[in-house]
Amino acid sequence: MPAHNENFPWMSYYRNYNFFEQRMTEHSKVSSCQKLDAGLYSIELNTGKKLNVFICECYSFGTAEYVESCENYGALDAVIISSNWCGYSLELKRDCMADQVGIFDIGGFMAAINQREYWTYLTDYEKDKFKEYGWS
Amino acid sequence: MSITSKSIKILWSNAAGRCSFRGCTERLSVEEAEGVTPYTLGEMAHIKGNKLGSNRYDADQPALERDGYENLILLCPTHHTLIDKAENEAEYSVELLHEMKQEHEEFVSNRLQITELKSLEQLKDKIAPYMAENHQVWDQYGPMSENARKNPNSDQVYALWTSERLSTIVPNNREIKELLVEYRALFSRKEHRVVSKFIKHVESYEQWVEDKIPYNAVQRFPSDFEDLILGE
Ligand SMILES: [Zn+2]
Ligand SMILES: [Zn+2]
Repeated sequence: MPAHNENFPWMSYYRNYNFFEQRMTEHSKVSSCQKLDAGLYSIELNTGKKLNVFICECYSFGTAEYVESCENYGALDAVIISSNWCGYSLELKRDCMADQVGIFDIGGFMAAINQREYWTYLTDYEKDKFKEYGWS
Repeated sequence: MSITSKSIKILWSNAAGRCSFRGCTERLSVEEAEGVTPYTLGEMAHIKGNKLGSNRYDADQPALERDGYENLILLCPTHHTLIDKAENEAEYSVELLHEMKQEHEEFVSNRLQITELKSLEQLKDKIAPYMAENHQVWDQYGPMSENARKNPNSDQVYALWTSERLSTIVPNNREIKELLVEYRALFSRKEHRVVSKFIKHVESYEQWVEDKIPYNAVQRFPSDFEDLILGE
């Protein structure tokens, strides 16, 4: 049950991510934000590091969707689930962290890139859950 | 310490998003909680005050209990202000506020259990309006709604969806489930599977309220249940 589009790349209704692009342009740790493909961005940080970032509105983003995204767009450094109505599985988040890949919502990504090991960033809710499941 | 999202969800859904003050029942809306995160909706008043000097403060109360569901009551801004005025401390005692909260929650959870039902048709008639109400909320604010698709990043619209889930969908689901459990025998053997599916859906919704699973993990509403209740 996707928010809008059922298939990869799960584009938004207006087929753009203006909100995200604007947040990236304003972010103090971002030096450039370049759109490469539908939902695919290259985000360059002030440190010179370039991140391959995939953003989508998949209702429930899990392992299958992640694998499909990598098949289409190659290795990713981060995935962002854009819509407030959509989310990702914590199992995926945990598994990706081990591979130094971050899974976030927009707010999470904005906070995460303030730290060097951005893929390790967890929201308060996630911290609680990781502790509860004995994952951290 | 602050009020956890679990406490908020339980409080809000038990009160069906309405003021618990005796005789008020005003429906609360997100606008009243402007500038706060989507979860902190409405006015969650402390029964025993939350800090030294506030009404009904109990120095011996552990911090965890202070912000827990048991010590909170959902009120409209008018009644929140009223009970927290220093000169009203004696009038609105801890006992009275607990009483009001309990009365209100009982009122919410007993809305559907009025008369004895004799037939499946009567049962369906009882359930249908609550299903329709849920459906309307889903259509208007759910993940498939125009609102959600066109405003994916709006915290305000999303807060409306959260508040509707808690004040409409969850309380209605509880009522429907209770009726189904009580009158299960009215359904034919074939229909039991669909009824069970709906009950599973309601139970997984409750897991979201209890903060055990994220909303995306809630089992989907089985559309064949709608056919069963609304169809001929
Ligand atoms: Zn108060
Ligand atoms: Zn009131």
